[in-house]
Amino acid sequence: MKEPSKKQHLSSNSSPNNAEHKTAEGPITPQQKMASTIKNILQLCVGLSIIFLFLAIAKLIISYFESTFPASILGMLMLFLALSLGVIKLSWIQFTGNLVLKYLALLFIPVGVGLINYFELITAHWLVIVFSLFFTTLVTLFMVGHCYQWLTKEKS
Amino acid sequence: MFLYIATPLTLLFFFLAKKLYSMVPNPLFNPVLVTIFSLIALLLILAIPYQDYQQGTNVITALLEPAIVALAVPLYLQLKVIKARLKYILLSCLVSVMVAFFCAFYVM
Repeated sequence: MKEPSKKQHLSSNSSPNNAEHKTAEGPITPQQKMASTIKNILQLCVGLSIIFLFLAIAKLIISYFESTFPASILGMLMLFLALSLGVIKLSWIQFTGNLVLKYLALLFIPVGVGLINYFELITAHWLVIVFSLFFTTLVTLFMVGHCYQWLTKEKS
Repeated sequence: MFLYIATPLTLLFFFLAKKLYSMVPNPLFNPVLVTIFSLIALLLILAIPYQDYQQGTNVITALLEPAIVALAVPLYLQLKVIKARLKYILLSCLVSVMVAFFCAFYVM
């Protein structure tokens, strides 16, 4: 019983529909809670299967053509296409998608800790790195915003 | 030993950092940044080689690829908004990328 209740907690955070439902209905019975937990777990399974299916197909294609294009990007484009064509319904995958998005940042931490390998490089060129990162980011943000505003103003 | 606690430790640090951020909502206390730096500090202090940590967190790294595939969902959800302004978005991005590229190039 401990595991599903944990998942329930996760899912109720990430799906706004669920939360709305709860507040509208007042206190929920254990049966309802159980039912929604099972529903969420099923949704998670379906979503994950779809995602892994697309990733596997993308990997097959990449290995067939011996390309260096990242398989995950190809998988994303294929999934996007499937969603646009209506082959995959958004409702099948939305729950999983939201959950993944919520914890996306966590997945980048081990990669970020990999910075430890480049300590010497960073200490040798820290000024250049910091300056170029901050300066170019600022310039890019500024340019995108102003270009977009200027272009849309021109039209209207 | 560290192999088995690397992933739980990362999760623990991340949720603690999230809690810290909710208490002090300052961009400097970005949960990812705090977690990365505290983990680096821990590895350095305990003199644990990065390879050990990397092997221990294989689970998390392996989830990165499906996570990128899942990004198709927000892309699809934003499709209408993007489609209506695609021309402007592409044009302003192109100009900005060029400017940023030249900036970075000449600063070096």
